[in-house]
Amino acid sequence: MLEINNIQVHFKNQKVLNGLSLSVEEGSIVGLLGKNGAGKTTLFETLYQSVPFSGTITWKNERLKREMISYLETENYFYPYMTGEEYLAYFTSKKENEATDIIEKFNLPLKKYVQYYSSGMKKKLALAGMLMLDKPIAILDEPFNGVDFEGVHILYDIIRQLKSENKVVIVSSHIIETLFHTCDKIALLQDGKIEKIYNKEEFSQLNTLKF
Amino acid sequence: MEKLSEKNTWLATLGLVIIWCSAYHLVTFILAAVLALDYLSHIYELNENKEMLEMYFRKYTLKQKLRRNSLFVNALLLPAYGLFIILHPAESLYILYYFAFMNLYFLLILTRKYRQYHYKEKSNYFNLGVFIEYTICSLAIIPAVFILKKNIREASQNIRTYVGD
Repeated sequence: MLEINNIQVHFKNQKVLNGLSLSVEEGSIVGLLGKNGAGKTTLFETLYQSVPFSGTITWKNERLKREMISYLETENYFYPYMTGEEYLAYFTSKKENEATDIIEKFNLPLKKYVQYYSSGMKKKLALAGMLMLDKPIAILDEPFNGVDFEGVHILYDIIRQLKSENKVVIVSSHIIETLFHTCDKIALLQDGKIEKIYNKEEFSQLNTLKF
Repeated sequence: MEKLSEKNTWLATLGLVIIWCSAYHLVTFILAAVLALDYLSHIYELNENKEMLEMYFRKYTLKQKLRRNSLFVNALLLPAYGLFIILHPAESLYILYYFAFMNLYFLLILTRKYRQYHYKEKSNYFNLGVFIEYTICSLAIIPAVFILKKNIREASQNIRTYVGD
């Protein structure tokens, strides 16, 4: 289980996360919902251990390390003078066959230089690389941004596949419907802490939610 | 893009030939080396993304990377070394100094890249200040050795935060 206890993050005099606690079981998908500036990305960066914080984060009762996490950021960066094919050739994995299937489904122009990919294409390519790293915790920050209709459905499949492999998936999205489709629980982030956790049967309440 | 990469290949080849030819005189030899190192520093200026970094350093250690890269650079410079020894046999010991200078500078740039690496930064911000500092230190040899040791230690620690032990 991933356990986040009493996390506090300050930027100058501003408290961004203020006593945030959350537990996520293996094989579950948690959606993170919050208005702009609520601290979603800060929470992800805290989990990825790239911002100083107080509190504890444990994975299977041990301190969480960065190497346990795959983190798909909102913006994806690649070497400019590299084709999609060259990028993917970099990764070798036991899961290569599965990744090849996904890459085929994404239908990316692999011979083209990544520099000329749209943001949605870059996201798909980053996701393929991330999957090949095969980590127990996946953090997806706005994964649906810029992805076409078909890509969104492939993303749903990928997230479900991660769940079936008993992985922890934490996903943020500003399109609430995408969270309804994929998540087991949706956590509402407000004032630097988790205000409420909605189970699947309570998702309908989110339709009328006002921040 | 293909045209640009073709142009880059031609420019790199031309640069290499100029470095080889610079062996005809001691002054041109070191001058061409300094210019080549500036060019080389910009090649290492861009950062890979964290996934690529992780995949690479799961397979190889930093020391292996340094060895592979310096082997490649020295293989490219081998004709220049050879030509200098043939043209200036009386000053052949100078080639040892040249070898140390080139390798130290190159290793400093490469280790700096991983010492500075942060997954949010697209580049490691190489600038004229770094170029002057590393050139002077490499010319003096001993300061470069100390900086290199420090860079390797810090770069290894930084990589470990992404890849683990």
